[in-house]
Amino acid sequence: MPTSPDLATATAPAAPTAALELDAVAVSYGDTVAIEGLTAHVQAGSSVALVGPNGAGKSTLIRAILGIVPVAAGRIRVLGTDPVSARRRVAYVPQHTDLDSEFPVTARQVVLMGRYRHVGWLRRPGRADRAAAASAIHAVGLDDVADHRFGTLSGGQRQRVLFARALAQEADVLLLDEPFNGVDLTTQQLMIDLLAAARSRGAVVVLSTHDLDLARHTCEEACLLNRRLFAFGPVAQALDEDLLLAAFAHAPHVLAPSAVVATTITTEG
Amino acid sequence: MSSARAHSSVMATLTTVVAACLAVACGPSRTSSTELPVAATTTEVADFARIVGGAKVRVYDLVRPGIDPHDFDPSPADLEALRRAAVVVENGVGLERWLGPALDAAGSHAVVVDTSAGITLRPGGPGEPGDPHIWHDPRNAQRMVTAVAESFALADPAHASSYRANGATYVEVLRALDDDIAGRLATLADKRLVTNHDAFGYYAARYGLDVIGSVIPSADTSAELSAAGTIRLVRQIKAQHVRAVFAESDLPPKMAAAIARQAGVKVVEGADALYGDSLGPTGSAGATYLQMMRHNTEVIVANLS
Amino acid sequence: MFAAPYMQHALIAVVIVGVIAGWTGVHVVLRHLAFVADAMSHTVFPGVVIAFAAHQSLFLGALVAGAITAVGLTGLTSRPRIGEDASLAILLTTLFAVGVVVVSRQRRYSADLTTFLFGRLLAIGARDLWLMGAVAVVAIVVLVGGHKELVMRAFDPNGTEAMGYRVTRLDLVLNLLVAAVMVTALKAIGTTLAVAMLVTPAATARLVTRRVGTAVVTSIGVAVGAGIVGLVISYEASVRGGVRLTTSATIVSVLTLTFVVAAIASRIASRPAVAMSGGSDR
Repeated sequence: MPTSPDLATATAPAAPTAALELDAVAVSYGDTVAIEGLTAHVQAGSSVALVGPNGAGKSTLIRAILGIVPVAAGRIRVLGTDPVSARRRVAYVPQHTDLDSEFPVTARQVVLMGRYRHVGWLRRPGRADRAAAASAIHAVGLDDVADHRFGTLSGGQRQRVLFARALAQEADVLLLDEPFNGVDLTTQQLMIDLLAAARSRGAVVVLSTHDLDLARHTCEEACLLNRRLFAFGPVAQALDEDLLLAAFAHAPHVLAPSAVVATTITTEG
Repeated sequence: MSSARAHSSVMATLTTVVAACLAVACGPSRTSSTELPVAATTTEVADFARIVGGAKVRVYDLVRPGIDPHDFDPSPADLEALRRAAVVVENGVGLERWLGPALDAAGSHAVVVDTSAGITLRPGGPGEPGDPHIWHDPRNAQRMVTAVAESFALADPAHASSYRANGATYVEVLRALDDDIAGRLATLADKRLVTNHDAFGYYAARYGLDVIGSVIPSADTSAELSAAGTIRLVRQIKAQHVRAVFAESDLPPKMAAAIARQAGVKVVEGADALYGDSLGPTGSAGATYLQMMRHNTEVIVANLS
Repeated sequence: MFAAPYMQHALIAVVIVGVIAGWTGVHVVLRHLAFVADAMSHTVFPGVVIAFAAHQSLFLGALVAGAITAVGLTGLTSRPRIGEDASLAILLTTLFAVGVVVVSRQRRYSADLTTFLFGRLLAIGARDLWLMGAVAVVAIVVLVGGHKELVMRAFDPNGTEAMGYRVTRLDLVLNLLVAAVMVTALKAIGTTLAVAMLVTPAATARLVTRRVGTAVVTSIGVAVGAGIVGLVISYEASVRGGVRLTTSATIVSVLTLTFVVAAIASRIASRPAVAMSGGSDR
């Protein structure tokens, strides 16, 4: 099995304030172990693709970074603090299919939701908030349909709305759950461009995807997991054939906890 | 947009209906007539009020025949009647606990006449000031009638002499009634009475009858009979050789019939049922106080001779 | 008609109940939580009955029972689990039965039972109105202050949690609002019909509006309007027609009628007539 130097740490000393730090993280639901022994450090301005088969724990990992599910072992630090405290600076883009298409909100109102943390309780969004929402809508090219009901938009348009919501939040970490699923090519390219723009402002981008080409295309680094970490590093190395085969061949439910080998940032030998 | 059209048509309809309702509500009310407006709580005191007042009063019946006066929940019509009334006639003895709050709610300025004032009360159930069935003794009824006449005279001095005269006349009639009933019941061989509930305490005391027991052992019709109580009553009926169990007109006769059957005696029910709590409806055998008292007496005499 | 105190009090009562039930109902319907309202009506009833038997304030009994239910149901409404509906139904009907048993121990219970279930709108006094008003003011403050967060949670619970809000706390707030409506509506229309007041105006509004904001205004309008119309109808039926129509049941009948009219109107309006510009609601 090929070994690679630890590129993530070789070029720079271990930064104590990496934007995202996962150390031997394990997450479980009751008796089931969803993720174990996952260690990865992500710097500001980088982008990571979470890759793995269904049930690998990609969504769970995203939820753990958001602090929605607690870690059973290990530690997660987001922007130097615990996930729950960091939430205001973390934006989450879910899949548009998760949402109720009958709900009586317009696209603009959904984007404005990204500003609620800035607005606070008891108050209504102000001019600055509306301006931020408007510019986010403009960035995703939805000015024409901003006041249409969210559910009447196409799949790609809805995904853009959710993306715009995250942009309006002006967050430092962007977490995207399968953002390219069921989305047209124009939207895909638009999101890729916007993600690059966000990264150049110093944001961290973490997105989960099934599409290996898109992963290679959009992100610098990849995290290959299937309950445990199979690789983390530059995307070309982390997603090479042998590693992919090893990761995808493992059926998650077969793996017994005691058989897990502790992983490091380097690719597995 | 279609949804907006549906929305505006629904809202327009609703607003029109609400506005129409408020227009009706705030419109002119009926003009009042010259009669003295009176509201009466029970059927018995309503009868007295009509007799004393004649054509010079307009009596509104609050509790209709067959309705338990304890549970009364006034309707808007009832509350309007209370509001317009100059005099409200009540039985008293805790029978109309709802009356005070109802008068406040109606914003009524009526004078309330407690017709039980001055009457010696028999003991009632726990928490009750006494047995409220005072009217079954015609001597009590005389006091009640006099109280009504006095209150009408005070409220409507122009016709005071008329009310007092009517009252006095009726008191005489009640005296005659009292003598008549006393005569009939004096010669009764068997004076043992079993009724549906304890409504006849005053009647029995006045005319020397012996109340063995009641199907519902309380002056309150909503009390319930226990199995032990039923067995005890049946045993008493048999032991004392009681001849009949009397059902009442406004209570279901099933319990009385069941006990009578178990004890092997007859049950007096249907058209012959006694009037315990209220008078009967118009056209029945107990539509007025006089008719009611005569009917009860005749039925008792017929079944206990 | 409104010269007498009882009608003035009844009018104020239906306005108060209509406003908070209509408004809260929009959130209940957005989150498909009508069953919470129904559950509350089953648990508030024994609370009221127990307070009555212990000679305590009925308002307090309703408040305590409602608050306990709100807390207890929050786990269920945040993350519904399959299979819990049966045990919930058993629990609720048992609690309701407990209430009936306790109330029937009283000597004269049928009137009280009716009052708890269907209210006694015409017997509302000034003190009742003060209590109702106080609860309503608190509820309105919460509804105004938390409006955007409640809507966002209904739309996207994961996104809301991701943004740093505690979804369980928002759910508890909504459940407490439902309890507040129950408590306020108790003497006016009773626990059973309060469910109708919560659900029907909001469901009607959903049929004919496309924004949450207009839904709230419409729902309040329908709730208050039905309250006034029902009150006037039952008054006229009694005074002019001699017919006794229970006020609370009349109000609910008007609500149902309004819903049916709205359903028909929206069905007619949504027939594809002229082709509209793309993207708008059909």
